[in-house]
Amino acid sequence: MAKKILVIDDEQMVTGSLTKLLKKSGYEVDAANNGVDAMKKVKEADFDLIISDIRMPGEDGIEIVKKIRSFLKESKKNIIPEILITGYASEDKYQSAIELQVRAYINKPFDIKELLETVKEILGTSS
Amino acid sequence: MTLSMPNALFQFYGFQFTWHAIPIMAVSLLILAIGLMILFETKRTVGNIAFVLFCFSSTLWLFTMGFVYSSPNPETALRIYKTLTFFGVINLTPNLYLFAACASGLMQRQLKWVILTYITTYSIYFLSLTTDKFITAPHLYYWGLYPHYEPLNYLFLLTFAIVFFANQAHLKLAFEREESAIKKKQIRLIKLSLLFGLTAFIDFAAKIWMVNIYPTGFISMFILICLLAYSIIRYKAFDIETVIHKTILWTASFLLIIIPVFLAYRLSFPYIKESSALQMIFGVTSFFIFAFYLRVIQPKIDHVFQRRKANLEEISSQFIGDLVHLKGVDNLIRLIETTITNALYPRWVDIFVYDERQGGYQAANRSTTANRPSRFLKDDAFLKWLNQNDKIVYREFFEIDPEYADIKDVAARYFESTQAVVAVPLVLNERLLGVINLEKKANLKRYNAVDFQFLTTLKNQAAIAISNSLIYQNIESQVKARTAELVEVQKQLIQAEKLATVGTLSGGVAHEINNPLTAILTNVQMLLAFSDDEGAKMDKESLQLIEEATQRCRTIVQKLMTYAKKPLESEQVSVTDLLDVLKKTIAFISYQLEQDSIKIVVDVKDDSYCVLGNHNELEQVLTNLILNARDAILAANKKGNIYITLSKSNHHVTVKVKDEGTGISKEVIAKIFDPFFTTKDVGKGLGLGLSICQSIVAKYKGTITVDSKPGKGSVFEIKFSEYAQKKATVKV
Repeated sequence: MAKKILVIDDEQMVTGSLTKLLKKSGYEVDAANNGVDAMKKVKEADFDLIISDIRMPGEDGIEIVKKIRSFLKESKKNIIPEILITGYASEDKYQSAIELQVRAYINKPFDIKELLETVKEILGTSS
Repeated sequence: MTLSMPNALFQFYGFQFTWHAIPIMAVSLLILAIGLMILFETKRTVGNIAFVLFCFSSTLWLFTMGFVYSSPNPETALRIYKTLTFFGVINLTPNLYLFAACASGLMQRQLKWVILTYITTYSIYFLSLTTDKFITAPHLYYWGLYPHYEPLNYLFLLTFAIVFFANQAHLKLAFEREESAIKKKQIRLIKLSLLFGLTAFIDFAAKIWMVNIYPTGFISMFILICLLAYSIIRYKAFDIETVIHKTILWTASFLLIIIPVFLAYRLSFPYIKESSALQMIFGVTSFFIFAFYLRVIQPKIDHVFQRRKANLEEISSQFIGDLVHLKGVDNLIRLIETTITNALYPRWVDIFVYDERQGGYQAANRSTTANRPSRFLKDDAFLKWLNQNDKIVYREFFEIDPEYADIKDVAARYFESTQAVVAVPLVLNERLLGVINLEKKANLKRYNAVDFQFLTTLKNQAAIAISNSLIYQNIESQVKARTAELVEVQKQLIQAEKLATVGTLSGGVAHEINNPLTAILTNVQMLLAFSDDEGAKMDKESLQLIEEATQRCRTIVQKLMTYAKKPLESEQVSVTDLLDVLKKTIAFISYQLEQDSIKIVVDVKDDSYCVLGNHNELEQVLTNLILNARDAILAANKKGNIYITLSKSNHHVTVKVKDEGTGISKEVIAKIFDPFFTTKDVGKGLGLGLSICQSIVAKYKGTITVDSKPGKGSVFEIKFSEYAQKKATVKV
């Protein structure tokens, strides 16, 4: 069964591209453009991986990750590994991202090879 | 009948008019005029005063001699001679000695001898007055009565002879010792004049040997005095023409008065001789006539000769008046040139002014193409001399006046090269600021004393004025240079601040641009990686994404470039719509604000808010205010809104930028518009943002104010005059 990935980014351009790439690579992909949307998707379905942007209007990636984590904890579901991607993070955002201890941290723009390998590595080990 | 002495002296009746007395008396008056001229028109040096005294003695001698000739009897003649004439005669000796001693430059050493001569001659005079051993009753010659010298009086002649030879010896000594050729000439002239004066001894012939030859000593004396007077004035810048004219006119006019009075006395004599009252009336009337002459006629004669002087005084007072309104060295030079040209008619005037940068004197009023030098070095020998002496030099005089002996050659070269005849130094505080050269007069007349007096007044005023204008010009150019520097620095600062803003935004821009880049890279790599096994359907979708993302990149870069563009490139002031400016500003930074979860809420009621300004600069103002508002909100760890309101009232346009951030404390508010004041971390701007906002707003006659409550937020308000005309009609 194909692994399921949730892609969160305020830019549809990014979510669209990533969705396409990951689908082509054999994953099942869903996308969300903001925190609210993302929470809804997490509640509706189980994901094997979350790829999220950091800087976003409204709730940012860090807040979303925290929210999802606490939701998963409350509903006693398995933890979902996260990859954070960012185009540019200020010092403090970067710091909090480190503190979150996400599985991977990738800078935009990235080579698809790098992303795919990271995804494969995480999902491979987690499964 | 023996007359008491006062009567013999002052009662004219009884005198036998004799024509032989006329030449001697006329000459005596001329000598008097020469003496007065030297007294009033030259420097009062000891030598000159000695000469004046010599003239007065001669006058006394010759004038009273006329009365001796025509005396009614030998007693009267003797009394007049003894008391008056002889006094004149004995005075000649010591005065001439004094004069010669001064001329030979031996005054210090000769002083005691001069005094001794005075004592000797005066003793002889007093002895001759009180005894009969010196002068005795006159003989009657064909020209009239003439006194006789007793052998004891040869003492006087001896004194005269000793003094004469002493004078000759001293002058010879001085002549040999003198090195300056000009002074040598002067001494020789005096020496020869005195030698010639010896011929005046012919008068004594009759007194000694009683020969019946008309005593022509007065002619020798006149010539001697003329020569000596010439030796004094020839070597001074002295208007000899005026002096001669004046002297002749004074003498003529004086004779015009004295002869009628004299004739009137002769004619009325038979009628008034019995009445001393009538004589008194006659005397008083004569006195008033003479007084009238001295007070009214003589000044009028002077005025005739000085009319040009009055005219020049008018020109120079006009010149001084004009100086007040003048600005700049160039105008001043032009004024000096025209003033001199109008007053003295030189063929041309060259004005040289000291130029600090060139280190020399630069021709200030003409092109450099003329065939005379257009600049002089600072250490030009002649100019140095001018600086030290501050004297006007006239080409005709420097060759003969002993004062210029030291610089004769240098001056000759200077006048040769400049083709000028007069050099006027402009000296102030012992500094030569410039020099004015004058060519010959256009009417070929010579420059005279009045002209030099005019030039002296002018040169002092001109020196002060030039000094002032040079200082003014210097300050002005310095202020200009500094202002230009400051403007340049300010421009650079504005640009620096702008780039600093770009710098602080760069994080946001990176984020903004990395998103489309991610899309592009992902899709391109996908296309490359999967092109073999997937169809064309997939390709198109990816390509569309790539295109969209690339466009985004272009837009972002353009936005950034527009903002960072130098103000120099779009400096023009035009009617600018603040709404337009606001829209552009928001477009530029909205992405950043969105990323920080900050929303801009705009409250606008009208279509346009036109003011006079520069779009680029006003955009910088709004950007700064909005970014400050953002920083205030982020500092408060909030997400929030920035409220921007545009409004119009009373022909003013107001922009309010309100945030709900940290607010600003009172202490900080006092300094926020100061340059380089910042509360932000290092690397987040230069602290110039608000300072620049204020100067830009002030540039367009606007105001910027702030109202803030710590903890609640701040409102920045900018107010401009509304530009009333429709935007469309102006913005072409």
